[in-house]
Amino acid sequence: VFAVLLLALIVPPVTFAGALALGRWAGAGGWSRQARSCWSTAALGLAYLAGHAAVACPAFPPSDVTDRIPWIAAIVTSLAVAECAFSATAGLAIATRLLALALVGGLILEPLVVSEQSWVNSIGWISITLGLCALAWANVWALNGFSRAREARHALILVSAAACPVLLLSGSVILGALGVVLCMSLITEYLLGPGSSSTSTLAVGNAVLTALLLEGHFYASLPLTGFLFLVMAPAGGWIIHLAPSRRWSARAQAVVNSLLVLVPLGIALSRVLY
Amino acid sequence: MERMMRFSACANLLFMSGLVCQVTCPSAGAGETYRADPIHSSLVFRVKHANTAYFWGRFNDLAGSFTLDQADPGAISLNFQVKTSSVDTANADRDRHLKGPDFFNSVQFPTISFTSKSAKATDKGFDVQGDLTFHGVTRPITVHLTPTGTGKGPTGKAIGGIEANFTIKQSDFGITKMAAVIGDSVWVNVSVEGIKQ
Repeated sequence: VFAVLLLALIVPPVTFAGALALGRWAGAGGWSRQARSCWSTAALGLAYLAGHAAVACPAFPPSDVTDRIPWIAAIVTSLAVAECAFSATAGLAIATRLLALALVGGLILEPLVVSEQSWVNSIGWISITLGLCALAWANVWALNGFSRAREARHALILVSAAACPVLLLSGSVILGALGVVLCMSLITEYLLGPGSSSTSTLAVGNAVLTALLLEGHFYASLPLTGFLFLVMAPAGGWIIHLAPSRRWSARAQAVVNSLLVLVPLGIALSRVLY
Repeated sequence: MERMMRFSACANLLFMSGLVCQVTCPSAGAGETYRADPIHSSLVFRVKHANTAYFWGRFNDLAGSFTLDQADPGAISLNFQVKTSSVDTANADRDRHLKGPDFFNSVQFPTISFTSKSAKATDKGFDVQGDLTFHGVTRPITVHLTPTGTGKGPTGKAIGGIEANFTIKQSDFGITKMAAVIGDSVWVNVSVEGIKQ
């Protein structure tokens, strides 16, 4: 288990740094900001894929639902890179994200529908869950678009970090380790990436995180309340944009923002523990 | 006329020998089918933890039927289904882990099933070939089957018992992600009491 977690900690940063170095060497410093952002998104996808392969080498064709997550990461990364490279219009960007959400929902929840168990009873909850995920995604995009700051990425990193112990305690070492892989990929991209608040980076992180949480809830033992608090935690980021908190210093805003995200994450963790 | 009488004598002899066999060998002839009684049946498995010591577990929800014919192995058939969510290793946390996506993935793969295809007699019983479907993968395996007895149950119904053993590799069925923690090879023992149909 420790070897698995060690791989999850090491492989994504090494892969991301390697991909970034390769991009710098290929571009020889002549790349535009947009090109660097696209390459950074691709490197993030590669870092997650390498980490996933190191932790839980997927079967081909996929034998279980966990083996489908790399496919989600690869397809959503391709969509995000294309969206970044061709400077997609707002309508096209929304269509791309809806496609990504449909992909995540379809690939992760399809076994529930085709399994021998009666899916009719759970179809209502599946629909509500996907609706909540769509709301959570919209919240992250809106937060990112509103502030153009790094709050959305902060929130995503915090949620993915909290997801690791929550998923581990929900009865899946592998999902917990994949949470570590995602968290390390996002942190490395945040530290070494081009620095812009790239929506394409958020797309990859959001898709993989949603896939992990959906699998944790429907296939492992992640409780409903834990799932909801994890999915909705980034909404706390809006509070610092309210009038009274605008007068605070940037550092105070960052601390409050983190606390507002950490509180629901703590509740999610407590729901798994107790 | 003589040919007719000879034919009649042969027919009588065949009829009598069949009757004698029916009286002395009750399980010979057409196979007898039994429906598994889950209350008096067990499925236990043994697997090594961290390549060190064996631990044992069981599945509590077993259903199916079997047909026995001591004289004609071709008539033997086994058909069993086990709910993966019924795994029980006397530790709730471990059971939750086993039911989850790291191992059985009970939501995606709720059932383990075995359907026999052929059987042949051996010194100690029968070797039954069939298809085991586990974790969404179907593979042929050989089960060593031993009839363990027949009798009457408490309600007066005829009952019969079998015991079957086999070993599988988890990796053959796509369970590979925790291979370093749990041993690959799993020994399984199925002991079924069936009610004659």
